[in-house]
Amino acid sequence: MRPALPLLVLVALCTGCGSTYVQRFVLGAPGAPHARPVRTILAGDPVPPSRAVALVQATGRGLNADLPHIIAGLRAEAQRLGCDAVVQVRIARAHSTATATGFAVRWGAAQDATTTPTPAATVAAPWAPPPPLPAATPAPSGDGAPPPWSAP
Amino acid sequence: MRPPSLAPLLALLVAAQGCASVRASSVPTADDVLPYHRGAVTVRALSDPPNARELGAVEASSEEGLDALVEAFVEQVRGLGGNVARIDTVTPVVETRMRPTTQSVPCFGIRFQAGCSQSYLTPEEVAVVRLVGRALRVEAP
Repeated sequence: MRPALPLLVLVALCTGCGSTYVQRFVLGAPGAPHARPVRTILAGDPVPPSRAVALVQATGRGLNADLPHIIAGLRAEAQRLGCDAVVQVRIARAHSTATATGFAVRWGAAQDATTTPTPAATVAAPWAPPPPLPAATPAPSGDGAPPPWSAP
Repeated sequence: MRPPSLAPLLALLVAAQGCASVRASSVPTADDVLPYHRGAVTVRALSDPPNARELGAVEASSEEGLDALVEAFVEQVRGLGGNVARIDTVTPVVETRMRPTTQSVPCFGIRFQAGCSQSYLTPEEVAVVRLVGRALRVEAP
């Protein structure tokens, strides 16, 4: 029984050495909280048609200053807001602090008319790859010559 | 009795301005300059509203939280006469600051040891969020 005491003290100390702090700024109407998986889309990757609900930030310190904790913080906040994904996620990390920002969104009609609609059913799993980009239309060229970046 | 000098107070104010944790700026890009907008401002991300006119570029950074950050961003949009604050990018940065710390130490060779302390700088990591976007104007239909 006695050897368990130092272990308990060690566990108590370690759990106190890390913290994750999440904050948000609401941009649109949130939905009902849920426990479904939330997809994470990094900045630069294509975003399916969606409506921004909140700007969210998760900051981990100490033992929580790593990717799993801050991404979990973003996803938990998105679940509380009834969102389906966190998009445009950017991450910064230093020695004892890591932080990530993104937009918690709900799949829906695109507010941008130039975005191609994508069925929400194709992005059900949080680990699913981003939807394919719409087929690029070749730029019209007057003289019929191939573009300079095409293969010979 | 000599009146207290204002120089230390002014120096403190200047130093405080230089260390402000919320900063924002903007630059107009439209030809015409609109007056300060006192009405509601819609904060928008991911897409532009239809029939929006761009008035200028806006940036803001803060380490005090998202509320203060967006508030500073919106204030810049108001200054350009905009009624839509369009956020284009949100960038987090972890900056290392040197924070002064004072610690009491034993005073060797001094009889009264009540006031002995030493000050030194300790590194502190601060999460800063930076917004870059635009001020837009959407006229009511």
